[in-house]
Amino acid sequence: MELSRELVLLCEGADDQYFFSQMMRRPSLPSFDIPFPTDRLHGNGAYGEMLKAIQGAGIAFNSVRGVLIVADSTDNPSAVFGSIRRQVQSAGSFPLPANPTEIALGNREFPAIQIMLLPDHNKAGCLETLYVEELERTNQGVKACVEEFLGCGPITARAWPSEKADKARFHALVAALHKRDPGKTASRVFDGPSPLLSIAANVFTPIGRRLSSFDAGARRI
Amino acid sequence: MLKSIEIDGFRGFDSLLIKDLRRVNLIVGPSASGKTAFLEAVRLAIGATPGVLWSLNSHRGLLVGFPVPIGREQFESVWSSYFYNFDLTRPILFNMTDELQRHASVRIYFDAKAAVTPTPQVGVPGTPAPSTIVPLAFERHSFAGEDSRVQATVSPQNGQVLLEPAPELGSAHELFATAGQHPGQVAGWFSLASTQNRERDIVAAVVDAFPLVTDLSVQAIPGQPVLLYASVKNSPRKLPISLVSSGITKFVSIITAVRQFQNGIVLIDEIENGTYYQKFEQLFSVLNKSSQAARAQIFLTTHSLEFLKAASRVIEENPDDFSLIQIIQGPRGTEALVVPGANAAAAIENNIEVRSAHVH
Repeated sequence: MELSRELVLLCEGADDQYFFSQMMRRPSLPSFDIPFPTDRLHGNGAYGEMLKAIQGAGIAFNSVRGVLIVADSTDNPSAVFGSIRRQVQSAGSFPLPANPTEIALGNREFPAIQIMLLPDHNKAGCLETLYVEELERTNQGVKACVEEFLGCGPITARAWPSEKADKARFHALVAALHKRDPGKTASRVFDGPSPLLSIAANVFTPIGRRLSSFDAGARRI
Repeated sequence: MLKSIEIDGFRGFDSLLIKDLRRVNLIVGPSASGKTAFLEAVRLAIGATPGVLWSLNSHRGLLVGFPVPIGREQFESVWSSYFYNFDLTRPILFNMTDELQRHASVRIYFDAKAAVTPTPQVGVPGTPAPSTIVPLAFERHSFAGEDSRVQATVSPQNGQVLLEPAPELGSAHELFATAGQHPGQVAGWFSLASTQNRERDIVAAVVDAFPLVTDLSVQAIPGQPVLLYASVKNSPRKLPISLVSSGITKFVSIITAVRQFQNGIVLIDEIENGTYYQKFEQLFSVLNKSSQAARAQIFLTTHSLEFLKAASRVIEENPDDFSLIQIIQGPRGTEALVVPGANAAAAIENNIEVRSAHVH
């Protein structure tokens, strides 16, 4: 893909890429290039290589004023943040944010960097945590059933790490609620004539605000 | 090996410094961005003779003859397209450094102090009166620290153009234009390689890449030009290589040149032309190995993503030996950026466009 925008968003997987592509359709939100994942680079250990790859765009990279790195919080947001910070260091002389709320300003050679965690840096989980929250809000009574299922008999999913447990909750909810396509994936939740979720839902609004604040603050100095 | 080159006042280059050149340099950019002009700049900077300068337009298919006697306007028009904005009052300058941190430079300018007015030709009806010609001077400072001067001028006797010969400033090098190389020249290089017992490597590389070919040899048939011939499977006769395939001809000529120009520079315009895409990786791999063996520096241009993909797999093995040079037309004329090989390969392998050089 061509880096044609001033802002780049790096994320772990196809589900995140899809979600942020949908977010950019919300009014007044900034546009980002989202060049990953690729077959070679995906997951939360690939950010260093992703940063090297976008530097390879050369002149187009020099026009990028900000790179927003997005990752799942998992059960240990501070460890994830530290890991990504080390990857940023390994990829060149990029500016380094001290915490997830900071936009480290760029310079002549490197764009600004921020590391954003999902659902939030103060909360364990992943993108699907937000999907589950919205599906449970809009389908009263389903939460108890799903929780019972995930802890039923030999099923131990409730005790899994939070990002895995929330992915299990999400798939259980889709299977139980979406008659039209019980196998709908996280990469299609906003698609089709009867989408599972609306990108305009309030649960996503804080992420929209963070995208806007990154747009407002990211620059080279 | 060139480590940097500064180009000032040549073609579309107002002023440009390119540093961190590597052993193999891939040049990309939109059409008319200045890729070929960059190759020409390197060729001229290292060559630094009137003959080299004159040959650049002929590589582009613009063959320029010189009437006798030549008028001042005609003389200057031969050279005007090489000067930035056709401004003949502004010198062309090149500054270079090599891997030993030595410096060389070339300054090309019209030297009014050396003006020549040829003697009028008496008794030849219709001959125009000769006009005063201002020679085009080449002031050269070599990597070895030697200063010299050579010029394109006219004979004071009859007004005939003289392109003064001189040793080229740098080590051996060759420019491959898009149109390809003269078959006789390829045969000559192959013969030279053969006299040095280096031709078997070339043959082995060609046979490996193109199993149709079983051997190569130079044939001097009475009454015909000396050409490189290929032994071809299932053919009762050897064939001139250019009759076998233009792609094989290009492959052979490039590999032969690189092997021939030990410690030199080989410049290749639009390397992908005439080559089947599945051969790109093999071509680039052999080119790289030949460049290593001959310690020859390569500058090549390409528009082909398939070629870049094939090249990236080779670059990843030893990225410090490679660079990607992006050339664009910016607000200050031709601009360029050097991307280190590792980052370039990472971008190409992950489908990030490196050719368009989008400026927001």
